[in-house]
Amino acid sequence: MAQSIWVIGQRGKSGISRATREILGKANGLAGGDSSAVTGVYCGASADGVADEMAQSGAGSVITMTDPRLETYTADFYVSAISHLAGDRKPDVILIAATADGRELAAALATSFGGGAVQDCTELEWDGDTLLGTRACFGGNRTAVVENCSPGAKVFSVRPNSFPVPDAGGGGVSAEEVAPVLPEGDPRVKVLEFIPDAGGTINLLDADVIVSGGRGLGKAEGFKVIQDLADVLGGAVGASRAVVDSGWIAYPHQVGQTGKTVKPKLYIALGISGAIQHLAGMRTADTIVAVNKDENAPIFNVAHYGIVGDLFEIAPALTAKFREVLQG
Amino acid sequence: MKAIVFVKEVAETPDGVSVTSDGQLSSGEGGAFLTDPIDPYSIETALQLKDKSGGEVIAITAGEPRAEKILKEALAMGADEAFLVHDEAASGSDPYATARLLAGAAKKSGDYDIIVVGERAADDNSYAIGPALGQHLDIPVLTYVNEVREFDPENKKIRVVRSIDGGSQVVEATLPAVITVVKGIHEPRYPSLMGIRKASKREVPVWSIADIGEEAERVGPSGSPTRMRSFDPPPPPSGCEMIEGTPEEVAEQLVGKIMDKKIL
Ligand SMILES: Cc1cc2nc3c(=O)[nH]c(=O)nc-3n(C[C@H](O)[C@H](O)[C@H](O)COP(=O)(O)OP(=O)(O)OC[C@H]3O[C@@H](n4cnc5c(N)ncnc54)[C@H](O)[C@@H]3O)c2cc1C
Repeated sequence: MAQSIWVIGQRGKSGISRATREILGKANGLAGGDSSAVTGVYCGASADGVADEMAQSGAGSVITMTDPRLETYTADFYVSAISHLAGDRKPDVILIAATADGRELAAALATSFGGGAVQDCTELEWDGDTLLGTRACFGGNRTAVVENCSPGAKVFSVRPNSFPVPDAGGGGVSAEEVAPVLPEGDPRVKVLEFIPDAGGTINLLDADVIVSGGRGLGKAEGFKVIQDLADVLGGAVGASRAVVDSGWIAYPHQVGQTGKTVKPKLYIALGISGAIQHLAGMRTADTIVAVNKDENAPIFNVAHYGIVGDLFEIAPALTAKFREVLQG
Repeated sequence: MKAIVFVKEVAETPDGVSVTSDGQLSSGEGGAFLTDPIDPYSIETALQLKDKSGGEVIAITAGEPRAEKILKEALAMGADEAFLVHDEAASGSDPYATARLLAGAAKKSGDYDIIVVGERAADDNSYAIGPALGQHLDIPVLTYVNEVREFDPENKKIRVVRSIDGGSQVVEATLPAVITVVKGIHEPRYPSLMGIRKASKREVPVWSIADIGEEAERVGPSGSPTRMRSFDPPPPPSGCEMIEGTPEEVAEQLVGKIMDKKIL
């Protein structure tokens, strides 16, 4: 019999988050397409539309637990609700999107079962009956394949963007509503306020896209073309040490051995030669694009796509094309 | 006020690090070790709480005897006491077994108001210790803290700003609590020469698992729920595909490839 897999649903800007849908799709794949093995579990103040959305992404059944105290995630309430439910239903595997809250929930939930979570997986695969998670260690310099030997449910958190969003299909599942078991008394943690990030100030470490500039920019003003490209991609601006040392941009933007180690989905390096110390900070990016006028620049050794040319011609063309494609 | 800071020794590079037959990281003997780069931020956070509220800061690590060195660095920065949890049976603990050791150490060190740890460790990147401590000690946990807005041990209250996906969240919790901090919460201070000299002369008491009320089978490899099957450098990139043409042609091709691969 297929192992039962739970996917903990998180809300995004509209409906179930993209990361949750990716994981539902993956869970369905892990169940060999047998969606009856995949259950979406959702906690919230209300669960309107949740069952359909989760079913469309691959859940064969959906359990919802609603209570005003579950409106915003807090470990205390979510761990209580989910661990009680898991104690009753005994799922084999629990998958959670590795957002900040998701990683906290994964570790706390797994500990409450007497085990541990395998965090931040970018791949999940069976070895016989054992689910293995692949994850980065040492800032991306090592890849570990990890087995979860916890008693009871095995919890894995999964990095957003690791799997494709499944095509919507199916649906028509009606949720089973379960009354959550929550701690009594005054909550120990109260969420008071959420302040969304202003656009453009995206953290380099969490950015999905980083556009970096090096000495090839010629002068501080050269960063304009980098910023324009980053803006259209909703990305962050990175830099080599040479330009930080020259005072063209502030140190928090520096990528490399003595700067930040980043792992965006897309890293675009313009006018950066690719010194080993720079590579140390970005070589594990999922996709690397290099633009350099020197065809022998070492950056091309780690790039997936290379363009030999003048960045002041290439960058604006890329910006225009991305704008056309992304913003219609 | 009493703050406990948990620190960790990590290998400077992964080169000498391997995985034991029990699936745990083993740093070997020869390599260089340093304080996890996140730890000075945790220590600084605790020291600033002490600067405001008075009291003491206690630094604790679970590890090998050589980890005394990083505890002395914590003392040099200004921690008042330091303890090493070390036991043959505990060597080769994964982050969850380590969290048991640290929870035991926290209980042994008595009434604390706050526990400060890094958001994650630089070697295993497991994001585990803070939330696991919260469960073991049955106290609230606030992860990814980039600012402590209010800290009131008298009235047992803390208010922090968490940096989470898409923005910042202001959260209040009762004390005692665990907080995990991100880099950038405060610039860590440098230890003074005097501090370094004094710290070098301090004895660091060592606690065994019996001292902290743990049992051999709950820690070390046998108490570790996560096991690494392999630990390798990431595969080398598959080679660079050069894209040629006018800037417009190049842009068209590259953007097409990136959209096709669903990178965005
Ligand atoms: C201990 C130590 C630590 C270091 N840490 C870091 C670190 O953390 N991060 C880091 O980045 N560096 C670091 N460095 C510095 C590193 O060795 C390099 O000096 C630095 O990365 C070079 O920066 P760059 O690529 O911008 O400049 P250069 O090496 O000067 O490269 C500029 C590139 O731009 C290209 N170019 C010029 N004009 C154009 C144009 N119009 N269009 C397209 N391409 C153009 C050139 O062909 C060249 O390849 C460190 C060095 C040491 C010794």
